[in-house]
Amino acid sequence: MSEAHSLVAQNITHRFGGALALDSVNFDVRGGEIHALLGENGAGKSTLVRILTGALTPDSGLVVVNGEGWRLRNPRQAQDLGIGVVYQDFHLFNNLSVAENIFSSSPHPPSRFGMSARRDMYAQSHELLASFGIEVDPRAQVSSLDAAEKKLIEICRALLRSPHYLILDEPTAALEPRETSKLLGVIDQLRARGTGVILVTHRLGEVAEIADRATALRNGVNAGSLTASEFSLESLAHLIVGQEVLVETGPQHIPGPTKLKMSNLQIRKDARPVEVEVRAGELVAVIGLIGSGVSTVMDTASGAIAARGARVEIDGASYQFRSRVQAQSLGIGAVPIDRKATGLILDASVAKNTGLANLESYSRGGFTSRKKLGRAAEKSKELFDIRLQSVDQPVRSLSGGNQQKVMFGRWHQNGSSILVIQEPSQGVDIGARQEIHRYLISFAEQGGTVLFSSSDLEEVRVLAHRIYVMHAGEVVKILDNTGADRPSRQALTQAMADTNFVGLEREVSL
Amino acid sequence: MSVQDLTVSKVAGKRQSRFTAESLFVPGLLVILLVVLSLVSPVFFSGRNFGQILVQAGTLGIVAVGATYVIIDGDLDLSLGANVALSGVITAIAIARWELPWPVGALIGLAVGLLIGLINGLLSSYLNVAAFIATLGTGVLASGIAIHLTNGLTIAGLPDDFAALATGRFLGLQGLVWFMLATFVVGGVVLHFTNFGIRVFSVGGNRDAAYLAGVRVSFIRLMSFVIAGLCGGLAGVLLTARVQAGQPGISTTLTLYATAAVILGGTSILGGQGSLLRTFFGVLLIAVVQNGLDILGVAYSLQQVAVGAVFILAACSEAIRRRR
Ligand SMILES: Nc1ncnc2c1ncn2[C@@H]1O[C@H](COP(=O)(O)OP(=O)(O)OP(=O)(O)O)[C@@H](O)[C@H]1O
Ligand SMILES: [Mg+2]
Repeated sequence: MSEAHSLVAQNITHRFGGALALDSVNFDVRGGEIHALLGENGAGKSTLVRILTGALTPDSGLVVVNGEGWRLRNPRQAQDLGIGVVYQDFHLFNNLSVAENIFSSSPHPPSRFGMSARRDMYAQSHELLASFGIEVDPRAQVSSLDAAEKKLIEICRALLRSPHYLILDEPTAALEPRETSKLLGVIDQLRARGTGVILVTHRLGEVAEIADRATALRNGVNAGSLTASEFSLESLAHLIVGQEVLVETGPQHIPGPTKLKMSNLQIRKDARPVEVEVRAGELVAVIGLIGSGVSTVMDTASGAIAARGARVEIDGASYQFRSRVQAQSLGIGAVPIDRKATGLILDASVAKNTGLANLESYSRGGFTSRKKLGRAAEKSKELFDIRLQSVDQPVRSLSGGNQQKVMFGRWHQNGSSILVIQEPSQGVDIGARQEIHRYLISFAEQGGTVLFSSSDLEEVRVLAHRIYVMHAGEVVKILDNTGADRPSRQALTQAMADTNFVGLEREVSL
Repeated sequence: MSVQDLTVSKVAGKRQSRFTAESLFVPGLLVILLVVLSLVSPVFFSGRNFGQILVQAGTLGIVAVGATYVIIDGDLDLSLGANVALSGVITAIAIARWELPWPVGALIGLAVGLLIGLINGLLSSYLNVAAFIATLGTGVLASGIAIHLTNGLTIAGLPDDFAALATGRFLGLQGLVWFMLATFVVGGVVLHFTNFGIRVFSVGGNRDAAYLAGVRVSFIRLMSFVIAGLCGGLAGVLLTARVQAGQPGISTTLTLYATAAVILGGTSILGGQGSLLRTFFGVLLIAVVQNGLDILGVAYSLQQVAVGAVFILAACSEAIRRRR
């Protein structure tokens, strides 16, 4: 199509402090097209997104909307030009209801005689949510939702304004497979209606499945583009990294005796209590749909929540976790699902975030040794290849993937023998993802114990020895992921979604 | 090659901007004020008057150290002024009415401050009452008790030895000033060079994340309140010693000034960011404004207007800087 219906980033250059984040970058999307924006962590994707949506004004360059050049000064301007966005981080009002959030950026929320009409708002929200197949009560407070539901609410909010162009910055990072395919379906519909969609993602499967074009940024410059006919996982990976990417093999070693055993965790009143066992050197995955109880299992195992009655046995000794402090003293490191909300102190330095869990080892008589702390952070920087200017810079200024590596660095330095990880590679690029996987496998080879949850089934398949499948607050299946009969992706999806299966399993066990 | 350049330029750029934008505003304002006041009034620029400024900054400074801890860890202590009043009054009563030796009276005063801090901490961090509300309550309570104990009058008849604690000179400076400087130094060392300090910042920066990293969040918050309470107690004892009387009525403005000094210095009211050096400059700024207006013969009520104006100015500049 002509430039009359397109959104173009023209010659964008932007610096943060002295560092060049984007260097004469060009990018465009036409109406009725899905253009994937790819690149490693810190390549500049989110920066470009923020520029296209007026959240950031570039040092130079223009945003050209339908042939007309703009220097966008604020998000409102972009909204008025028909540009909608869902940012990488959450931008929701946690204390407001789902409906209020959906209408929070709408210029015309439903009203009667100048008063906001809640009932209409709930009704319209319900309709919108239902058209997505999202089962969330519009009256529910957003703080009670989980990460995936929040993401979907943000997408609904962006769609409410019927934007001509929709920019989605890693929308699927928090979604499990069923929701991901639902979201991809919606994007497909939008394309059919003539909307131009920019999709930022690290999941190459999605790109191959749905995008028309893909363009990668590398260190803030255009690294090239591919069109749909040229797509393959290999070609896309190559485009991003600039070299061949190895195929992952998964753990080859055989785990030792039982290390951690969680029992008697009652997630729902009518459900069987959950029991999870992980051996020393074993990598165990827990998967399930939204609301199946995966996060409760993880939070209980890490001591982040104190579930009543649940017992955790470590090396044969039994505990009832009362606090995170207690779990940590037993060698359990925890990587939460939302590293920004509950994982990192964003304004504190990389060094402090790395050392926070065991400051005692970097201090003498209570006085912190900046040198020791800095050295520890340098070590984890080397080990995980964390891209940063200085270990004293605030974690906030790192890209998402690098922030995730700081989380891993913390527990590595802390000497934890058990890692409880939610979404090990959420928002992490393919290179970093493989590094994290390699680290976890070598951690396990040396006797470390890993319990992780992931919505990315490929990740589960290349990382786990065994897979616990959850449904409605129960463990419905435990799958062996080693040897010849490893479950396929389809088999996993089916195991998660098949509710009849639960009844069957129950009968067998009773 | 280019990566290296990038690293250097970025770090350099950062340092520079941090230096100019954040840490120089209040000191700059201070210097300007000093110059202007020296030109306007011949009395202002003298060692004697500078000593006086520090004395004026004394009580405020000690209280502001406590306030800094509580604000950085993400809470707020509105009871500080009342704490000063009550611990000062009880010190005076212990010495003048109960006729206890003055060091014992002083220790009792400190204990009262500590107790108020402890109650604030228990209420906010273990019972999860919002700090704003808990400390508002204890503040009203404490100042009520102070007024009740004294029937609203000041208590006189304190020994000279006790007064010397605050007014006795050492190396040309009054005891109160030394106590204030010592509080800043000790407070600063603990806040900026110890594990406890890092944890205070972490709890203020992100409570949930700190918890997940194994920080005893409730304990850290409790300790910050206790430190604030102790500072309040110390300020109360020294104030009583300086004016030779228990003063039940000083509470509200002191709380506000202390909080203003902290924020003026550039410590974030949202927690997780700040420093005691900044608070020190904030305290000096307020003291210099008050002193300058004193010298110029401006009424006390108008001084308050001026302090308010300076505070709003600094807050605006802070907000504008953050937006950029
Ligand atoms: N506010 C900021 N201040 C300083 N540097 C920043 C800021 N925001 C981003 N950067 C830097 O700009 C570069 C690009 O970051 P950006 O967030 O655009 O990466 P990204 O491609 O979205 O990465 P990810 O896949 O991890 O989300 C990174 O080096 C990052 O550290
Ligand atoms: Mg990004």
